[in-house]
Amino acid sequence: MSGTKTPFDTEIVRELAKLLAETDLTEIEVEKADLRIRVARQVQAHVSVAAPSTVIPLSQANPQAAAPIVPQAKPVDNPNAVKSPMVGTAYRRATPDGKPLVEVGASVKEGDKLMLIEAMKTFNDIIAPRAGTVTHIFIDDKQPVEYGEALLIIE
Amino acid sequence: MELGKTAFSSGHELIVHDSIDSTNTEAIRLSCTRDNPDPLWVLALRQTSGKGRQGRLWSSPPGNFYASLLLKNPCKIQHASQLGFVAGVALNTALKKIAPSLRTIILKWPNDVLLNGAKLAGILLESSGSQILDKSFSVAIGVGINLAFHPDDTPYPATSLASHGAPTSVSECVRHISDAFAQKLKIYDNGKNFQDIRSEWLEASYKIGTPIKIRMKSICDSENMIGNFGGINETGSLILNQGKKEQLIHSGDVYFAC
Repeated sequence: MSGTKTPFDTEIVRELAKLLAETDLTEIEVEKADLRIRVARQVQAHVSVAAPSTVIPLSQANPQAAAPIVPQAKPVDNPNAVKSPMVGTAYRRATPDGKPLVEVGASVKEGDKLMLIEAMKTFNDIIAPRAGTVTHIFIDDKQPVEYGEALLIIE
Repeated sequence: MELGKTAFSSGHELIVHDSIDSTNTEAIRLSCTRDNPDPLWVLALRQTSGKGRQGRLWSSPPGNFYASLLLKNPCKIQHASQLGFVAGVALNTALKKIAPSLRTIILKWPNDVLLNGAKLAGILLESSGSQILDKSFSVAIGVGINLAFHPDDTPYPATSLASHGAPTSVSECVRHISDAFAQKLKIYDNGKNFQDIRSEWLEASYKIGTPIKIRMKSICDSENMIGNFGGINETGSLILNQGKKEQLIHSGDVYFAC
């Protein structure tokens, strides 16, 4: 990995974490200039900063505000996990500038597009096998994924 | 406008549009409503929203070739990317017939066609449906070839057949390209014989050992990997040789001889 870290104000993270707890939301994302921060209450809760990203456990940002939900079993063993059918790169957005196809908390219908997995310029839709609510998303945009890896959970 | 004889006798079909948003998008739309499992070509004389990789637009003025081949259950979904190599060798075969004087066409991993080092044609595959649902899945193999024009504002050099003194027509291309795809799909045999496709692709690509740089886009940053081209493995992943270390690359932008 190369490049220099983009400086950012950690106060923003604390404010967002506080807001997350106050509003009972599961995820907040803000974008300003080249800085994008997402604070989420999920299994792999983190703060990501565009180019390059910095990963900070939410509990470090504000331990009282929003504790991550810890699953009882491995995501891949969860019967409601939607798994990757191939090795490739996961895209959560249909286009680089578009919004994520789904977020935690979203209600989906069977057949809804959830993600894309790219392998060698072949884009494969990951679609909802059943209707339900997206309770966990384990994958970041542009993250490499393995065959059979859990991508998200629909309860 | 009609398909080549081999394609026609193999049961392939053709739909032609004067203008459409994207042939891939139209093919995927049709996959939801079409019961006929025969391969279907969707061709447009121009596209208003031609697709490139990662949301890039593919410049699509009239005069160039834009078509997508819709296939139903052509292989296992985890092997769908092998179809990009089937498309690559089909285009290489067709272009040798369309422009026999051109000797410097080369296939670049995973599925670009270069002429004198500049991009002549691109291939973009999109799948619809999923075997996760125990239903059929469809793949649209989108093909764009710069026949008469090429864009000047791309992040990579581009070229066209016309600029190399090899003018042709869309209708001539349809015949040769549809025939070449029908031949190569028969060889591929629903994934049972990727090895022959792989061998043919390697013969039309860069020599093993060529210096190579791969720009990988990870969640954090762009990351460059440098090494030597080691060919492709049995699934189509690029083999990057870095001294004694060998890495498999599934996704990334490749730059040769750098």
